[in-house]
Amino acid sequence: MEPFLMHDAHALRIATGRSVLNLRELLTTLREAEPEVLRHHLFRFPLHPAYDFSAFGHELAAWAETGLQDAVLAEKLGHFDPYADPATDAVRAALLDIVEEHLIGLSHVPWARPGHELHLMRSILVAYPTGEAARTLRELAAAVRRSSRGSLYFHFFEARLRLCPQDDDFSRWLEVQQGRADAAAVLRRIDFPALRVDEIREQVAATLEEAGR
Amino acid sequence: MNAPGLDAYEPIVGPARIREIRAFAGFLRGVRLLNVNSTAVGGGVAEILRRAVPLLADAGLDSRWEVIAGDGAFYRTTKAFHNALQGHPQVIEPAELTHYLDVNRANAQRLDLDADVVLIHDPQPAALIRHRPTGPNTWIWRCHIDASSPQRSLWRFLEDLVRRYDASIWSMPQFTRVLPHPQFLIHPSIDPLAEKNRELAPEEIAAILERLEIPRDLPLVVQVSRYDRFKDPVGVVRAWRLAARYVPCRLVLAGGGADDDPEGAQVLAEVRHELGDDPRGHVLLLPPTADLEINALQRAAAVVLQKSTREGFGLTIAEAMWKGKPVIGGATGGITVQILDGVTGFLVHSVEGAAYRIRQLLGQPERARRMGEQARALARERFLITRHLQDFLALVLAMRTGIRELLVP
Repeated sequence: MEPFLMHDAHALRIATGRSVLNLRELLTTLREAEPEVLRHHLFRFPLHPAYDFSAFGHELAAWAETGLQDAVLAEKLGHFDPYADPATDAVRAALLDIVEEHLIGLSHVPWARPGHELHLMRSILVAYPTGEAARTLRELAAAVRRSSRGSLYFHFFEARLRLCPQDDDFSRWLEVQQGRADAAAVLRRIDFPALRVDEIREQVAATLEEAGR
Repeated sequence: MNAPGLDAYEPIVGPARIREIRAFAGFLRGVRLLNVNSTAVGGGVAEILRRAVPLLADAGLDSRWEVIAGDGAFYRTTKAFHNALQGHPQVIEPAELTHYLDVNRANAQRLDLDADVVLIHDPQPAALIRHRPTGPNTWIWRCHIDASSPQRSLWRFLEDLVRRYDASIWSMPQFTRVLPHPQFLIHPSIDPLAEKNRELAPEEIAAILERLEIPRDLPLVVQVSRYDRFKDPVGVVRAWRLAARYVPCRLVLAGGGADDDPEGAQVLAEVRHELGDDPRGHVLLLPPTADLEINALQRAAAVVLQKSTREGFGLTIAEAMWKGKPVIGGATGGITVQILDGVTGFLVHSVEGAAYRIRQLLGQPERARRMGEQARALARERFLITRHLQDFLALVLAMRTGIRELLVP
């Protein structure tokens, strides 16, 4: 049985030099943006503390709310789950559908307030093993409770892009290494886009503790 | 007293941050780092370097800091650069540009620029790149200024220098330019253990305010920043005066000069003129060593302002946030990432807006306290020197391994 090797991760942001000023430009961006730019704005938001104060799980929806101040678009984008099919072509197509349909129904194009433009960027994730190895569910629960935002991101969010959208490192280890498909299923049912990072940490740790009793 | 090492930060930021810094430094063992800027005291850059350089050394890296030297004419020119980069047109004569290049050449001869990774801060030493030693080194230009709408003619001159670097670092994405190299985004930071930010006992605060002759009979509205037009100290006086009609309060403007800022005296005179002889207003001109005084003023404040109209980043906001204060800031530059509007403070766009938010925070102390708590939590996660070191070391790792996603080792 292999132990669970805890990792931590740090994102380094790189500017593209391009910004989105209005909804029409967002449409163009969604058509043309490089995969790593889409990845940053859709999947790396939980690495930022602002994620915990936002009503939405990805940065495009959050920007529609605070930058464009278009509550309807924000809700439509916020409902979109990029993890359902995280392939670039799939998220690009789904987002284009949402924005195009929304734009058709508008009498004017919403613009971002000055200072609230969407600055397009990409990021490099630097991940590394922390040296912690958990051999039991209780050890893993304790490690999760101590984990940083970057660590939880790596194992719970980023893992879905590495493994498969419905999976994460914790549930994969529970199922494969511990033979605990039941506990893995509980973890997979966590409605994570609706939770703050500390709430996710609490739910994961509590599930592991319960399974370890 | 010895400066605190990395381990002293663990009770503040937790073990994960310190572990990461040591891990990244371990991957970079043997790499020689050099920082170069234009002043050893005054201003945010010197404050960051004073702590970051020894902490990187404590993490096991060969880390040095050099300061360029220049005469009055050089600093007048680079102050004009600063203003022009922030969008205020300047007349800069060709002879002044030549002198700027000459001073940089002289510094290149005087300073030891031999290092594996060289970080050049701001425009003053940017022309050192013309004298880059040969060899497999990496030169990075760090711009701390809001250069989102620079004077074109000046930018053309600087661009010729900046393009020669291997990468650049910017505080905010909107400051970046079109350049042929990667433009990394790293927020600057504050040191929670520095004299300016360390915890103070109430008696210490009281003694310092007494020494500064600031009565504590009324809530204090405080802005700490250089006397610089972009910080809008005159607008602060006007906002405070409007607010004080409704909620009795005192104003404290506390600013210092920096070696490279000859314009301060003029702005200070304008502030004093605007304030007149109102005894509730206190204008302090503090020396660069007045860290303890600034700490006490920020901690004694009921509300902290940073009503800048242009701002590279505005580290005084992070300082106040770290002390659990809600901050009212101009909606510009780096202020917008520090103040989550309505969560850690308020973003404002006018004198009237600032006045209204002062009234709100003074009139709702419980709301102000809650915002202050959230401000401190955000500062801990994003604006302390430990995060800055993580970013910088991750950048060096990325530069040395081809700028791609990394799973190390």
